[in-house]
Amino acid sequence: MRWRTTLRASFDLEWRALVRGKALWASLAAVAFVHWLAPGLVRGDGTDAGVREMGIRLAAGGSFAVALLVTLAAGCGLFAREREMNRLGLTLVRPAHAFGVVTGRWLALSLFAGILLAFSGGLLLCRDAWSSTPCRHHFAPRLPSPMSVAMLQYDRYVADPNTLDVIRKAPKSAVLQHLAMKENERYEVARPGETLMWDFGTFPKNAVGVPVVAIRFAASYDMRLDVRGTFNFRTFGGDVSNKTQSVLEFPLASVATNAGERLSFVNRSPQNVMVRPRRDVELLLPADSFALNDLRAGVEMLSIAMFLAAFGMFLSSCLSKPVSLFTSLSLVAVALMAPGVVEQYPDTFDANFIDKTGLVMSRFVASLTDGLSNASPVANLSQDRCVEWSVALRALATNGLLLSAFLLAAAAALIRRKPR
Amino acid sequence: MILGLLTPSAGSVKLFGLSPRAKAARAKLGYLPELSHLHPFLTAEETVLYYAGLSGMSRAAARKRTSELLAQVKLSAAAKRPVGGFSKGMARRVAIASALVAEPELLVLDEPTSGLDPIGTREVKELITDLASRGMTVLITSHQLFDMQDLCNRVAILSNGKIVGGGAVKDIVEKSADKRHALEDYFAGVV
Repeated sequence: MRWRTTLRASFDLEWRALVRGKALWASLAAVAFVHWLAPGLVRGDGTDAGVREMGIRLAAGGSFAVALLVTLAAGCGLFAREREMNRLGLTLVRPAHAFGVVTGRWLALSLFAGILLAFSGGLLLCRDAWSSTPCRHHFAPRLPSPMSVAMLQYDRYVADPNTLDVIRKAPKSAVLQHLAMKENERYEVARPGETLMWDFGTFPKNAVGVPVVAIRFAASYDMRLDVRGTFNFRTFGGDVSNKTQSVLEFPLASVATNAGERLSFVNRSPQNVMVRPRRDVELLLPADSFALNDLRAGVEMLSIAMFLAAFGMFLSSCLSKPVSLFTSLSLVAVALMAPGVVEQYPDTFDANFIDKTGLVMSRFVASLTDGLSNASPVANLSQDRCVEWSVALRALATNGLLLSAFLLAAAAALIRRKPR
Repeated sequence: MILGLLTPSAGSVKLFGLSPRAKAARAKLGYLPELSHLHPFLTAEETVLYYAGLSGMSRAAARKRTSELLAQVKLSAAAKRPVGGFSKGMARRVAIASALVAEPELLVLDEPTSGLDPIGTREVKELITDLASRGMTVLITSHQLFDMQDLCNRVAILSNGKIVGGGAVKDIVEKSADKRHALEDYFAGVV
C-alpha cells in the first residue's frame, strides 16, 4: 500500500513537472515541426517510393531523436537537480520506498516519451501517401551462425600455408572473429548454367499470398551486367532479368512442380553472378497495414526511450546533470557507432596499439548494447519491413522493463547513499 | 545523522530505539531543511499532498490532513496557488506543513527562521510554540540564539562537532546578568 502511494505521489510530481514546466508542449511542438519540415528536406532517388522512404525516415527518425534526447535530458537532470536544490533529503527522510520514488518518476518520463512517439506515429498516419502501403514479413535463408561456420573453418584456415603469419599468430578469438566477418560477407558464385540454393524452411507453410524474392546480384569489379535466370520455391517460380547491383523484388508465380523448401536460382546469363546469402537474398510475404507496423515500431522505440530514461536517472543518482548528460550522450554515441566500427574494421591484425584498443572497446560496447543499437524500428518502418510483434514485445520486456528495472534499483540504492 | 541521511564515522544514532534509516523511525519524523526549495510548479496543496503520499497516507486521509495543515499555517486562501510565486515566509510555512503532514512525534527544524522578515519569523515561532504545546518534540538547529531563547526549553551548544555546553534555557537565563541576551552571552562564554 505504502509502495503504491509513494509510486503515485512520485509519478504525479514528475508528470506535473513535465506538463507545467512546458517540456511536454515544447517537445510536441518540436515533433510537429520535424514532421512539417521532413518532406521539404527529402532528396530522394527520383522515385516516389524513394521520396516516401526518406520522408518517413526523416520524420519518424527526427521525432524519435527528439523523444530520446528530451527523455534522456530529463532523466539526467532528475535527481541531480533534486540534490542541488536540497530536496532529495526531504524525500528520503520520509518512510518512502526509494525504489517507489524512482519508479514513479520513471513511469512519468516513460509516459512522456510514449505520448511524443504516439503523436509522431499519428502524424505519419495523417499522410495518405505515406501510410497506404502495407508492410511485409521478411524471411532470411536458414544458415548456421557465422561464428559456428568460423569454428568449423578455424583449423584448416590456420594450417593453410597461404594464411598470413600475422593471422596465424593472433589469438584464436581474433581469428574466429575475422572468419565470422568473412562468412557474413561471403559471396556464392553461380557460373553460367549453375544453380544456387538457399534453405527457406522458416517460410510459413500455410502462408497467404504470393512470396516475393528480394535479391541483389553482384558481379566482379562492381560492374553493372545483365542477369537472367529462373527462381523456384515450393510451388512458385518465374524467369527474371535484371542488372547486377540493383535490388530486385520479384513476385513468384504458381508453377506445376514443387521445388521443395529451397529457393533455387538457375543462372541463365552468359557470365558469373554472385550473391551474399546472408545479405542479398530474402523472401517477402504481405503482412498487415502501415498503421499496425507504425504501432509496433512505436513500441520498439518506446522500449529504447524507457531504457534511456532509466539510464539517465541512474547516472543522475550519483552525478551532476552536466556530467550525467555528457556521459550518457557519449555512451549513446559510442553505442550507435560501435556496430559500424566493428563491421568496417573487422580484424585487429594490422592495427597499431591505439586502433586495436579502440576496436576492442568498440566490440565490447557493441556486444553490451547489441539489443539497442541493432534495433532499427525507423528503418524498418520506412522500408515497409514488418516489425514483428515478437520483436517489439521482446524489446519492451528486455530494454523497457528488465534492464530499466535493474538501473532503477541501482539508482534507488545510490540516491540513499548520496542524498546531498 | 539523526535523519539517516549521513552515516556516522563512529558511534551510532538511535531514533525511537531504531536506526534512523528504519522506516518505522522515519514514519515518526518530520523534517524542515534550512533551504526548502519547494517544487515551484506545484500548488501549496499539491506540495503537502506529495509529501503525504511519500509518507504512505491514503489519498482521502492526505486531503483531509492537508486542508487542516494549510489552515494551521494560515495558507488556506493560497492553497491553489503555485508555491513558485510565494514569499519566503509563505514557502517556509508550506515546508513546515509538509513536515507535519504525517503527524510526526519528532520534528527536526534546521534554521527555521533563517532569511525570514520579522513578521515571517514571528509567525514561524508562534507555529513552533503551538506544536510544542501540543506535545510534539521539536529539535531545532539554529544560529539565531535570540529566537532560540524564546522557543526552546533545553539547548546544546555544538562547536567543532562536540557539545561544549548546554542545559535548560531557564537556568541559563537565571544565571545571566543580561536576561535579554542570556543565550548569546552563554554561547560566547563556552565557545
